[in-house]
Amino acid sequence: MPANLAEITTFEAAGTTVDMATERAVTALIFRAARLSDERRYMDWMALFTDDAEYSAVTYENLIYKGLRLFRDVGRTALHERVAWLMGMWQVPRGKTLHIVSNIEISAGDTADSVKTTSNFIMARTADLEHSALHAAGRYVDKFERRDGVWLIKDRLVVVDSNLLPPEFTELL
Amino acid sequence: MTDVLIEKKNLNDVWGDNALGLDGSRVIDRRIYVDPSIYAAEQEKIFAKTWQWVAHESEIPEFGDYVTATVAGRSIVISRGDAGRISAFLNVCTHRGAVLAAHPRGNSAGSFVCFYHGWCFDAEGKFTAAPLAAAYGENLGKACYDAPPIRHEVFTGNVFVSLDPSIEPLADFLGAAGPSIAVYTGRHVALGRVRWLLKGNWKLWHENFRDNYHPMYTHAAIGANYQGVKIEGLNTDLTGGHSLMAFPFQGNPDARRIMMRNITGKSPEGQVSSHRPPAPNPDVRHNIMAVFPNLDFQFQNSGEGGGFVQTVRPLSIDQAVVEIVVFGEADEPAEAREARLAQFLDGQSAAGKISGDDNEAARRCHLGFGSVAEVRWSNMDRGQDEGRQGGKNDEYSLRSFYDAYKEYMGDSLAI
Repeated sequence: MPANLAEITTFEAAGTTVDMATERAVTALIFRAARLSDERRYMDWMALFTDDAEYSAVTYENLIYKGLRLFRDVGRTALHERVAWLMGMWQVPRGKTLHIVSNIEISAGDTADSVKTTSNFIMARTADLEHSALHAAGRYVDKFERRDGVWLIKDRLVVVDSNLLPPEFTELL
Repeated sequence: MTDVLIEKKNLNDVWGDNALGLDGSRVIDRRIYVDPSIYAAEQEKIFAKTWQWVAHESEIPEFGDYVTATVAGRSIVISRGDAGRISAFLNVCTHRGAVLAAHPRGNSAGSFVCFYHGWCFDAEGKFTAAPLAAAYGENLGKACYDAPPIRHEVFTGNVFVSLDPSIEPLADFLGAAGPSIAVYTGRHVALGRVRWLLKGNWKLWHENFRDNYHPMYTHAAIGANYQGVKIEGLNTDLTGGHSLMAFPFQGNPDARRIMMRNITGKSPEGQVSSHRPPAPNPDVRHNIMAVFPNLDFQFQNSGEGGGFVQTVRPLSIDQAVVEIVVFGEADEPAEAREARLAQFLDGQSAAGKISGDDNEAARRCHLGFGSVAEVRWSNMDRGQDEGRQGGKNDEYSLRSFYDAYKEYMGDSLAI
């Protein structure tokens, strides 16, 4: 298993605490990313990331096995491509989603302008003619960086708890 | 040509008398997707009578390692025992019937202990002990208390099982598909699995891997690649229900960038970098090999790099589990391995840029089968050349499946 994945299996956001203003800014950013995904404002969602950001997902089963990810988008163009798929290149109808993000733990990153967090999420989905159902549950392992005074997502690894994915799993997690 | 086919229509074929006026080998009776009696017959006549891919031996490298699989309703353990031996046995305690291994993957440390009353079985499923056994007198020392062994064979690292003790040897069953399996997986290791729920009959998923007519339309990005391109590649019936589609990655390398700009209103700032689906490259031959009844291999050229093995197993008449196993070359450099683990799956799975659409195709078809009473027949007539091979977009592969399907199902289709 890659060392970086082995380390985060402990899900320890170890490190020093951050000041209240940083905590508020980062928490707001986590919530904004969830809301923009639910509102299908994909280009706005993408703007929350740094140009060199990484966005990837892995099932917990594979996280603790060899680290096989569902996908790993690195950099602005890869994020842009994912957004384009969501906006039209995929033929899969997406139901309305609703993210709930909680259990946010924040610690200082490697520099004064970086922060590490872990948080839990659940995502309900309401497809056409269907009731709201739990679609995904898991954990965000995030790194944030302040660039020109603005906090952005530098890395987001989504650890999906499900061992049997739902048939349509193309939404932004 | 249609007139010729009508003349050739085989009235002895269970599907020979169809509303499309085609030979019975060139149509599908949609009742096979929705009829409960056919579904029940498939379990016993196909899934219990064929070789089923269940694991790659690299997934169980150490003593005690095991994986479980479900075949025709039976849970099966595939386990590594003494001297590296691989065993397969029914995952059931012979005492009261509880499954012995409750996880899809694990290590038994050489002993499967039933959680219910503590009966013990070794890594090969043999009964070894029961707690407080004196109360049974002398009656427990019998082979009938072993978890029943299941016929299994390992073919170039791929572990297959069959519930049919008298089934032909695996190499014979695989036939012309065997040499390709050796090339695709012979020097590879499994790197992980992802499984997802399919909302549709299991055959819809397997059919999709025998159908290269759909990608240009179902998968928008691939469709863009192909505009204005003369399509190359072959679609071949390997007999025995197995088939191979082999084709180059063709098309306009800028197509995806153009689509991204058109859809999002913004030009990509850098090189489009997604690993999957790959950019057009005429030097790369993509191979999609389907093995009857529910197994697919996807590899490039001669297996360089890595590839995918997929199975689809029914949960019910209208739901199935698709499982994909990712393979890399055993000795690939660390950097290549890291990249494969990170991005190789990008087009696949329920989250995949390609497979996402395929899941939807199965869902929509199954919904459409609600009209089976009015629209009973599916056309499977693409490719008019005699013989077993035609163009990439033809349906030799699909007809190969249904030739074998009818053979296995026999009179169960005469409903």
